[in-house]
Amino acid sequence: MDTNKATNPRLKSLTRRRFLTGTGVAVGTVLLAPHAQGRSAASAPKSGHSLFTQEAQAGGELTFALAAEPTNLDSHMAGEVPAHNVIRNVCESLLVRDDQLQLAPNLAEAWSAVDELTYEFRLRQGVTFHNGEPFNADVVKWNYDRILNPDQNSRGRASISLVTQVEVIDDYTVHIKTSAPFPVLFARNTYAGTGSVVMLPPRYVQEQGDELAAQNPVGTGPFTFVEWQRGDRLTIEANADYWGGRPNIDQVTFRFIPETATRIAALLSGEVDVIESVPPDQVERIESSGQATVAETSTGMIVSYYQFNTVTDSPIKDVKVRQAINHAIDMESIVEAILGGHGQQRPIPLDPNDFGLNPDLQPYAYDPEKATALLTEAGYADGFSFTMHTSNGRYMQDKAVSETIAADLAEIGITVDVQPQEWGVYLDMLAQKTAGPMAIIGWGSGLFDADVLVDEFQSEATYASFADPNIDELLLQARTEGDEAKRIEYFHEAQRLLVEQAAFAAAYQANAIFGIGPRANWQPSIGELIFLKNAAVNA
Amino acid sequence: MTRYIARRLLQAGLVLIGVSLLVFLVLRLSGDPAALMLPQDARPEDIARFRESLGLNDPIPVQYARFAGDAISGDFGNSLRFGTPALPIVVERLPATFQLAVVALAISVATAIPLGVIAAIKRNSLIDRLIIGLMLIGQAIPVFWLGILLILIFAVNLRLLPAFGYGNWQNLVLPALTLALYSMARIARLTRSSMIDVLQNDYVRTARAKGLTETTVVARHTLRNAALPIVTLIALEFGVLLGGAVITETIFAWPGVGRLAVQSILARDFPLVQAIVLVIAFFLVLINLLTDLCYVVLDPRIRLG
Repeated sequence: MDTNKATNPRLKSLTRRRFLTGTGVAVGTVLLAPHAQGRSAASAPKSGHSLFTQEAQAGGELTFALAAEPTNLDSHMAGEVPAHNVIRNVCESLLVRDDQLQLAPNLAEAWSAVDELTYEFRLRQGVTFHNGEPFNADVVKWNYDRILNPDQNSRGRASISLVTQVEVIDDYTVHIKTSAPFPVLFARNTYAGTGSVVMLPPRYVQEQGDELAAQNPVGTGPFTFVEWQRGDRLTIEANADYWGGRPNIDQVTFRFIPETATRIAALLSGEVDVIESVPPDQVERIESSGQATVAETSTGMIVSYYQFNTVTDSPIKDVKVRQAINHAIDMESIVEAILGGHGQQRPIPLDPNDFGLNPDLQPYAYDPEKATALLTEAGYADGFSFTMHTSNGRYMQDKAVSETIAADLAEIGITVDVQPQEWGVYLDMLAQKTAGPMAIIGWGSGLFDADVLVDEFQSEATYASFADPNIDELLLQARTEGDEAKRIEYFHEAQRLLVEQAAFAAAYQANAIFGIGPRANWQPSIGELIFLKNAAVNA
Repeated sequence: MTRYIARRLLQAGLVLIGVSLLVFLVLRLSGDPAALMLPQDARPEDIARFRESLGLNDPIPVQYARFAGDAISGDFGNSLRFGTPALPIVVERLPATFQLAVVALAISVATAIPLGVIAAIKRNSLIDRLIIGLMLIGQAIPVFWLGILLILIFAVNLRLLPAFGYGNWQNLVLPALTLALYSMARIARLTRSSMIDVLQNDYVRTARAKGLTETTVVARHTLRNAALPIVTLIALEFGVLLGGAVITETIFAWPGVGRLAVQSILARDFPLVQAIVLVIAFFLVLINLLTDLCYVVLDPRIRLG
């Protein structure tokens, strides 16, 4: 991370909080590197020497246990994280993020804004898909067209809806035309997840059809798809002709183990080499087993928070009440006790690496007295009550955090009735604004851009429930502002207002925790994205 | 007999139609897949357009007619999540489901019937009480707890068996045992009480008086007569195992239909849920028919029709 205030616009001022967060990120986040790194600082070896050798050998195969199985391997049609975690290693996008989370070349070597509504990509030459098809500007156009085609029903269509058309300038140059400035376009061309533009081979998809593309992915990536025995396993193997150099490891097999206890047991028994989604209360067990260890990144995939509903009538419409609620919640204890310390409070629902993050934000201090005072000022000296619907299992410890918040609010006289809901029902409530004056929601961090604030707080966003015209204007301006400096300004101001107006409470980000067995020489990436290019087997 | 079978098949057809109607309606009351399938940054117009493209805005009778018409020819539409035809996805999982159900049932029957018989014969003795105690424990133990416990002991500690997965017989042992326990307890209890009933009959006394060995009395005269309710229960248990082994399938990552059903319901994957329910209903109806035919073999007094 560039800590020079003069050159890094993200570091307006190096506050103590920012420094600690930055150090925490640097220490706690294990970065992908050409040479294998040791385990993260979160898992110091017990006896003072390394529990496993970390010497990578050539070739070999690893088994990865995911918590859920992909259903559709067509990256334009897949809407779920497990699918993208697999496809990400077979198919690629035009850009990637490097170790410092800066945009870096991938299938495109250069990228720039030609004018306000035109963006140019210069493509890498000599790249072929696994089936021999060439990669070029026509391919890029076809992929964009497919995603944008309403009849295709691509899951990522809304995310690039500002794109009007793609022009092929020459074999290796494309111009993306947009209906308004689209500064997030470049981030959308990194493979973050649903909504990312990923390159598929046109002839293959057209000839074989969508159904086959959903089961048999072909791409330009470091691994080729071998087979998928549904319900059981999915295998990918090294692409010897990969333009970026053949990956070290020969083969990776994905297994699918939805039950957490079984997943951990499989790691401890040596049946699998890496597992994802380790809950915080199981870290100790894995670490002390002697059979495996834990790798943690302090930027998990999801930032969750409790959004306030100022659209329907309730005491929450009063900013003092919202501020009171913020002061009443003891987030530090929640992170300690419920997340076991494996997470961080966030002053705003953004990942600390997001472009446009306002570094000067302070979360509301835990101060129940101030909370009571504010409530009284607002006219609710006797408190009030409401029903808070919550998701259950969707976000790390969501139900437990909701119940703890209810307990904290009870201390200042607000009675909250927590109602856990199944996710489909809950999502519908969020859309209808009937989840309660306060409701948990989370957003993925993969884009690493404050643009997600628009989806979070702009009053017309599908699941948002906050309505402030000033903030709305700032957010919408930021979304379509081509000038980077101005964009940052809008975002910073919007965030300052969001905190001041207490548009949300209890924002937190749980760490991504993986279990690593002795054979596995691999580290997770920031944002919980699974890249296997640099994976290896220990000697 | 043929007339009976023909009539039963017709009934079966009606049952399946009824089931399809029911699942169709209930699904559409349960919510809306469109919002669930699109990412959170989808706009209301995107969700509306997606819902339209899935045909969910049409009136329900129209939707049902379309579904039924296709279903007759085996086309259940494409799974919303998988993007591939729904019926093959279900059929793909049937071997694993059947394997687990059959083996689990075999284990339970093989252990339960002898236990039940012994308990009945030695009624009120110590052995009887022990067996009753075992049955109670078997019914009370949560499947979830038992499965994890077996994994911890045999996979993690002893490393004798795999913790999860599907493929060879080693994978089958732990899930089948886990699943078998509950069925075993129920079948044993019913065997015991059914045997006790039959053992009261006069002809048993006659058989004993004739000088037949106890084994012959039990095996030839009593067990077959006690079998009717037991066979009914076994058939029921098999049906339950076919579609309801969700917890076991989840714990052991067993690629069966039960787990697929739950995931599909949570995802509101209408075509796939419909396919699953109808396939399971079909097999249940089939099992019921076969069971009824069994009765004739077991008890000649029963006349079909």
